[in-house]
Amino acid sequence: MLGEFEYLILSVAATLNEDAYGAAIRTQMEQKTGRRCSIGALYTTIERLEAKGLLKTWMGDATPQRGGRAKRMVRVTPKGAHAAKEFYEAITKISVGAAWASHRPGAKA
Amino acid sequence: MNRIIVDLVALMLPPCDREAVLGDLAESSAPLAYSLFAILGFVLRRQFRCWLSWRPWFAAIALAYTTTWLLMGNSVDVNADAVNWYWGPASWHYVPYRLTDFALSFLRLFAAAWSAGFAAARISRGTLWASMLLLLGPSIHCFEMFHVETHFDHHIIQLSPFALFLYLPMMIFGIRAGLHNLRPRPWLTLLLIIPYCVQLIPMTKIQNGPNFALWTLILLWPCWYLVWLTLPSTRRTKEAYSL
Repeated sequence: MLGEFEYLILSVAATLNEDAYGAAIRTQMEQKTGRRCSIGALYTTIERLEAKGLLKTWMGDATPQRGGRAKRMVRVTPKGAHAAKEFYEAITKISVGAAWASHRPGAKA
Repeated sequence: MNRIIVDLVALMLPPCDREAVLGDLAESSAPLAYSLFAILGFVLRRQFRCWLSWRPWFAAIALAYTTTWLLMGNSVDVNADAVNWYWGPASWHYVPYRLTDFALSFLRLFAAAWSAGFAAARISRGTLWASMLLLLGPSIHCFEMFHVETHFDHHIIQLSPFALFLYLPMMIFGIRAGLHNLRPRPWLTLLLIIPYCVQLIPMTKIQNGPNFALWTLILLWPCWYLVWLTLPSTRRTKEAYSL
């Protein structure tokens, strides 16, 4: 089972698709969740996910706005997509009936 | 100036991580303090993750802290044999004996230092700095108290305390091979082990008894680790030979 932060990284990387790399994932995550995401936390989690085979990373092209430094590109593997789907379904199922869940029985839309 | 400071601090990261992190910081135009905290935070997190495994503990305590005593002993032996050779009687009769003594002690030092460096780098490369600190600590401590003399006729020769660090250059070669995931050829591994075995047989009988030989064999475990790595069952096709 994934951790919360691992799931967030997988989801953001999946939505960014071809443009998924360190800085872009961090910016998206901070914008969508409103929480700070440190570079250390991001890259150590990416390493862990890669070790589990849930992500694949490689060094991309260098760009002038990055001071000529290369990007670390990220892609979600099929195993990663499966793990993220499992996590999402588990969270959705377990949240049914909770006061904050919009899908609880009898809830008004 | 700020960029130079950030680049210097980022040297603590491995090259590919350094490239990505420095690029991300440049892209977000992060100020100096933020960049430094971000890099240091990443380094600390990586180290913390490394130390959760048994490998760094094993490399630091079972390898570095124990073999440093053997390495210092071997370094002093090499220095003493070199002094013997230089100050000994100027007769061709003694040359083969002194040459053999020196060559064997040098090979012993090479075997212990190279294999210890190789094993430390191969077992836990991320915490190599800690292994080296534990290895050099006792050597620096002994450096301050070092006082070994040898006598020749009317001469009293004091060995240099720097002799304690003779193992370092050979160890650096071993570390380099370990970091590059290279492995020694089987014949080289045998060449590393044989001087010790040759030396231990007479020592067991004459001087120090079987306990000494047993302890030396235990302290030589990096050499046995090399033997294990050369076995065909542990060999991976991608790995190249170091020597």
